[in-house]
Amino acid sequence: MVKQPKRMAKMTAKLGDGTPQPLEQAVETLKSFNTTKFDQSVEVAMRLGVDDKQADQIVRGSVVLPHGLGKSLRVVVFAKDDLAKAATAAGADEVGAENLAEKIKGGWTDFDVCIAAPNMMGLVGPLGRVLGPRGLMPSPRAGTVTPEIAKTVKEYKAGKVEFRNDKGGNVHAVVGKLSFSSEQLVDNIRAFVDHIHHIKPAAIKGQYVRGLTISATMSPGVRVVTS
Amino acid sequence: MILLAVNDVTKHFGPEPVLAGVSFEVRPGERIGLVGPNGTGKSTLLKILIGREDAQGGDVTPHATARVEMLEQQPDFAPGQTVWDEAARGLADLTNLSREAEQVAALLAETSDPAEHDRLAARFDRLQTELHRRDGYVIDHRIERVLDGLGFARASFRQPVAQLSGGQQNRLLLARTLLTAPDVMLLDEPSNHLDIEATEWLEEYLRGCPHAIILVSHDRYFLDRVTNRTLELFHGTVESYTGGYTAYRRQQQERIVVARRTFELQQQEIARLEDFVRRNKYGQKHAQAEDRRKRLERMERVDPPREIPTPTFAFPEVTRSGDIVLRVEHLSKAYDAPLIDDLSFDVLRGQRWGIVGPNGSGKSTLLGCLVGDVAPDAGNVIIGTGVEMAYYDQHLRLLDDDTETVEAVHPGVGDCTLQQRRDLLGRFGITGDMVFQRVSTLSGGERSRAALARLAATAANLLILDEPTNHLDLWAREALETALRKFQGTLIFVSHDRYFLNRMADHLLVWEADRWRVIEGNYDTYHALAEARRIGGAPPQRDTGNDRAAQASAAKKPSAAKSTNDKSSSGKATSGKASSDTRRKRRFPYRKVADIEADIFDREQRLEELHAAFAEPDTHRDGDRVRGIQREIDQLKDALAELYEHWEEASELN
Repeated sequence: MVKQPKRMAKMTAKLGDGTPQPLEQAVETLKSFNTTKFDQSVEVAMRLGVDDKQADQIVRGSVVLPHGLGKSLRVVVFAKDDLAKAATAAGADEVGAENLAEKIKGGWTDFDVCIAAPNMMGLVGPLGRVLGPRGLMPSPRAGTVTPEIAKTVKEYKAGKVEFRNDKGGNVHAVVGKLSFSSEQLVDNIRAFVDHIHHIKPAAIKGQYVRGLTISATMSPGVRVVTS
Repeated sequence: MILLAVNDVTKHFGPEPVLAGVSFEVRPGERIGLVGPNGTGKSTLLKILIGREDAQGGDVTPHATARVEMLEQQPDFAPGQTVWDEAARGLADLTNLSREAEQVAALLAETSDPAEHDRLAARFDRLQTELHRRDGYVIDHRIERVLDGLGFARASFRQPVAQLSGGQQNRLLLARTLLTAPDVMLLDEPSNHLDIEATEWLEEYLRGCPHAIILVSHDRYFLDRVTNRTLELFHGTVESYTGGYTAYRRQQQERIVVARRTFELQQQEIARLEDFVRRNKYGQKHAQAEDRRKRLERMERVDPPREIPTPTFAFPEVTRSGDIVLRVEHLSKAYDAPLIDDLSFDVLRGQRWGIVGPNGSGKSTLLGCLVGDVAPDAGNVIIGTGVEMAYYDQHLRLLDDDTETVEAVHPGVGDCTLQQRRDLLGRFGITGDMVFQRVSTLSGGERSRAALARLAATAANLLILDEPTNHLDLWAREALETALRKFQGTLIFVSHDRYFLNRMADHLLVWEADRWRVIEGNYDTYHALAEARRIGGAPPQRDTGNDRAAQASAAKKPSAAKSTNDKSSSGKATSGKASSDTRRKRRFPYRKVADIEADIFDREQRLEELHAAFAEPDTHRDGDRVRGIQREIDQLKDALAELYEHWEEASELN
């Protein structure tokens, strides 16, 4: 069995028996774990009572966080003509059509978000084998296949976060940096959690949110009261 | 969830039932080994499960959502297909899904109707989710993994299937079945065409498989490593046991002991009651006798124990040969490529040598050189004093197909009466009228037994066996092992059966990395050494192939071989003890500590550079580069592990 490092053991000891804490207190606890030389990202992980095999129980989408992510996302856009100009004006890092598709097919995936205008989907569809494994495939449900290109690019640049439940029914996303103030982190986490509650699939029976944990890049998870 | 329910299935071929009420259930995660002697209906049962044969009674009910697939035995490749195309057919549903997603995306681009757009967008999302859930985006990687594991060279991926050998075609069928990943996978002898390396990969793959598997195999090691439940098919019914083959044999013995005791106790009780009834039927105790008669009628009879008869093989006593049975000196043999290059070793009386290597490594050629069937290009094979050699070749050319079995086993020299030959065949399980059948009409297992009987008739004290377990069922294999363990002569054999190698061999001649290597021990010893070497912690194994002195000293002191092996396998513990008495001997040549440190520093720096290169996103897009870096990292780690040991030794002894 892998031995727990001393640093991690020390932080875990602070958590006591691991009882869920109210959000504000949990954020304070997490901030006390700031012992690294770099600015750690803060993540939220929610365990949901969804069955990933059921198509009507998929939890997927995107949410704009009130205080952003603390970093700028690299956004590429598939668009032509006016939409392309609007995307460039909105701050997209790369805008294109056939040339961009060729570049990606060649293996280039140095970006965080891929947005496509609906009329570009014929080009984007065959890129599934490159974009799919990295979670970059544009999707109507996540809001990355949209005619409102400029607005979407601005949202992602301002701190929009995309999420999708994994095979175990968990949803996780980065919601800021440990250098954020406690209030900012609480706002971001609350926005994310409220959005997950808001998009609860109608087909779900039983308890929806079964667990909520926040953590930083190099910290143990801190359990948060879900109700 | 029950994936497959088999209820009271019956099947007759002629008057005798092959399956007489087979019932069991299969659940997810169960890897079931289906075992039984040859001809008990294992393959028939699999065909009934897949629906290729009809049962005459009972029913087989798969779960509504479960897919049941069986490993094909006959290739059905479409003309002009390549290895890759055929393997990809196993993932045809995912390929179709991916194609459909592309089509929907194209329609989405063209539509201008909002309602149609919403419908297509929802459809596209559903397809994306499904592709994600079923790892549909990494199809190429999955195909590569399976083809690599089953021993296909990357250069052969685009090779037309028509150019593959029969064994390779069967491996491709296995690859396709594995990629299909059905809910219930039926595999009939999947390891038949695989060498040991590919078999080990298959074991790992199947162990990680979340689906249910029903596996028919005569490879006990394979069954032990893969299965977690065993179904024994015998006399038309199945009995279920938990665990792999070894666990099954243990439980089976326990059940037989209990069943036999229960049966015998009941038989005694029946005899006692019947005796009482007979003696007192008309006497004063008539009423009591009547009561016991009724009790006998009501008694639920216990069946005799369900015991699979194990044949008893036996080799005769042999004359003693000289201490050195076989001496191989600088033997070389090449066909298109060199197979054996400057190989030297001694085989001593009583030793049991197993020869292990992948297909085409020259095992059978080596045996041919030893028995004189193949002329070596260079070197000598010297047979020791008083050695009588007998050779069992895997194609059983030892027996003449057109003669009666009882004639075919005649050793050719000396007197051997009909009765003696019948006795001999009887010792190998060939009895009754079967001895008068022509050899060509015997089944594979029966022919193997007859060939072994022919071998026994020669009274040889050096047996050279090429794949002796090939056609034998599990029970006959055990009988052969028992007979060979009692055999007092010397044994050299080629086998892919790791269980057999483990039980029989005390020395292994292993083809490894383009050369032959001698291992003192059985298959487990070799496996442990190979594993330790892989993780860089093992002491370098002595290549005794050319080390005459070591063999000769082992001849003089029989215990020396054992202690040498102990030394190589237990490593530091032994050498640590020795150092307390005398100054430790150097393992490595003399080098200045500073030189070693400089060497270590250089290699560590290179290792860091490679790790940094690994972290670059560009690297991961180039599979060949990743493999190249990984190979160099592994080599550096091995070299560093050795340098650390060298540094420790130099620091202590310089």
